[in-house]
Amino acid sequence: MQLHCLQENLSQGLSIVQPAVATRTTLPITQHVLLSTDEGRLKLSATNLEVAISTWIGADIQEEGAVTIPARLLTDFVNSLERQTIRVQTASQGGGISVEGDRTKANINGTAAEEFPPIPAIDQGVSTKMSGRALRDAIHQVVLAAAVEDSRPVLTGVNIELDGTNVTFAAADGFRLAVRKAQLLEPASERVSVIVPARTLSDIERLLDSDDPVDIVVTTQRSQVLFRFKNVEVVSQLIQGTFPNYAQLIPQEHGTRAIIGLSELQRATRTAAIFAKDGSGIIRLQMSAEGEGTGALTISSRAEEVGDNTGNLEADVEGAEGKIAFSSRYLSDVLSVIGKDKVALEMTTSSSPGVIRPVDDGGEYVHVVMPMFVQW
Amino acid sequence: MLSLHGQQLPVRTLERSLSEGRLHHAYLFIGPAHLGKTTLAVQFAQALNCDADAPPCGACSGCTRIAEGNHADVRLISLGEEAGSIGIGAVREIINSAHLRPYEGRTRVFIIAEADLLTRDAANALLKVLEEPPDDVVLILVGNSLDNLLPTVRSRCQTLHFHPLSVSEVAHILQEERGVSPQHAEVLARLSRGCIGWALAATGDDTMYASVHQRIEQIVDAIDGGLEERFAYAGELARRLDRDRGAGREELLLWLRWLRDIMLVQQGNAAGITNLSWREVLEGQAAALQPADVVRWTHNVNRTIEALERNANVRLALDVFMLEAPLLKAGA
Repeated sequence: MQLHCLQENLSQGLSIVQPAVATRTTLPITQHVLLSTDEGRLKLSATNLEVAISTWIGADIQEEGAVTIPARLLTDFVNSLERQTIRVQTASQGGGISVEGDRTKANINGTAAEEFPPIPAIDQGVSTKMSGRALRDAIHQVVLAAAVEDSRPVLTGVNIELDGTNVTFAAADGFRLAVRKAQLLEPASERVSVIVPARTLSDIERLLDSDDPVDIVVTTQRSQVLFRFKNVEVVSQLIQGTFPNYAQLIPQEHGTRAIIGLSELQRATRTAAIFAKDGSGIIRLQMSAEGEGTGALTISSRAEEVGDNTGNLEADVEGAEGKIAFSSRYLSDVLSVIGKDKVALEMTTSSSPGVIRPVDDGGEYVHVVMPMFVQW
Repeated sequence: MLSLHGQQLPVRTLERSLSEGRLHHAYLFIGPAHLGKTTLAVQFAQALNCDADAPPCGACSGCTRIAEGNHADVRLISLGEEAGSIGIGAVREIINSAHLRPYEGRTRVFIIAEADLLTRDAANALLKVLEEPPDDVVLILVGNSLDNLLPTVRSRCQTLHFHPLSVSEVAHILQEERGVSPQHAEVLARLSRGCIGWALAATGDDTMYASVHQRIEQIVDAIDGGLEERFAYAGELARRLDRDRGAGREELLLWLRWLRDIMLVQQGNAAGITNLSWREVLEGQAAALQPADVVRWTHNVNRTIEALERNANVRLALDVFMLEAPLLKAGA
């Protein structure tokens, strides 16, 4: 293999595949990046056996070929170079390459490309398209509710259901549930429901930087899903199992509903969190339709040894007086992704789940949080 | 086709479940070391991921990479560098990746090469996968004996027993497949005690036989010598065991086999001895020792093995072992 390419392109390409480079690993070769020539471009691929990312960069190719190189080393070296044209060439013997700039040259040892786990190629299956922005927003709003490490692996993923032109993203960790509906650009050829690892989706969220449509393909065997956008392909393994039937977890009615300005609620939550930190993270919310104007929301927290804090917010409250306590982290998490000016908080009793949703988004986003049990 | 010398029963069982497509989600391969349990486990993993007519073909990209340990869906879990057990961390990784669909093959296979060494917590964590195995996942636990496995783990696996081969089978295989001379094949076969893996490795690596030969030479000298030589031997052995305590058991097993040979010669059954090339020395020592002394001596060996396993002072344990050993009759 022999080619010329621009330092900034190579550097950018390497940073795109970086999330898929394995960190702790049982298979050392997964810490490598696969460089291969592909129809006049240089293809970079990495896989940690859960997700595989490939990207293509422009290159002037003199000789075709493929090789795998330790990703970390290559990235560090390329990033240390100035912007310039660099020459990449496989070594005449051994499995290494030489990378040559104007003033520097490095020889990096690698291994034969055949030893690299095959990067799955996916063409067949259930396919659809979604706008990049819609996909990014949807991921952003649900991925925080997925469990990080759980004895129930399905909860570490996000359930994605394609049905006609509708798509529903859902994630839950046993204490909270986030559901986001969105539209597809093209109807899915078949109704399908898959569980994608939350980590994969976080990677995709980071990589998506435009509104260009994203191709989504779920393999016929329902074992992998492909996201293709611009010069990037992300293939992820799917998690086996059945996602909880979350529809029945979303309360269908409420006794109290308060509409609050997002930024005021966020600020009050932050303040309450200071005291909540030493008090098991409990934040108490009290809603009342009485008082001046249309109603009020009181946010309070206390820590026995430290002190307490109470905040009063104007709110638009309907229904009976309501009291509910949430974990400060869960509350601030959902407020940080809600993305509208006004947020609605709905509840029935202080021991049943509370619902938080943006106002005026057409019911696209619903976030359900289990309350904490406290003595009022 | 699966193939493993002398283990027709487990091979047939696995072949049948492959051809009928009725797989167990977890297998337990039990038997002494060097019989090819892990080898068969790897072959089975190849078969589960190979598309040939009589899998495994052993030649396709998948089979090759499984053999090299580079396949994404087949993982061999064995002891870490320094740890003496397989911990819960390794099992958690299994659980996490078991719930992903296979990456490139058809079946994810996890081979736990030293299942005896799973910690209690690790074994309990493994129950989760054993109880509710995801589709497309096969676990193979390999171990030396069932005793060290939790009954809950045992009961959730299909157990396949591996037995040592007969000495003549091993000798036959060595002659047929490796072209070893009949005499040397017989010597190696007896030394291997039916563990074909050891015998095959020894034919490829002369230092293995040389090392056993040298150690037996030392044992012979220690038995022939007086207390001075014996203590010198104990001192040298103790230094070696300080670095590698596990070697003590192996060394003392050589003693046991040697003493057994002496007993066989004393009882007039010299044909059954293990250390075939030492026959004359054995006859000399057999004549110079009382059978009752030899019996007591073997008990001492066992006691010493036990003492070492209980973390006794190596030098002291070996010195006591030597002190209690009978001396040869003068002039014999």
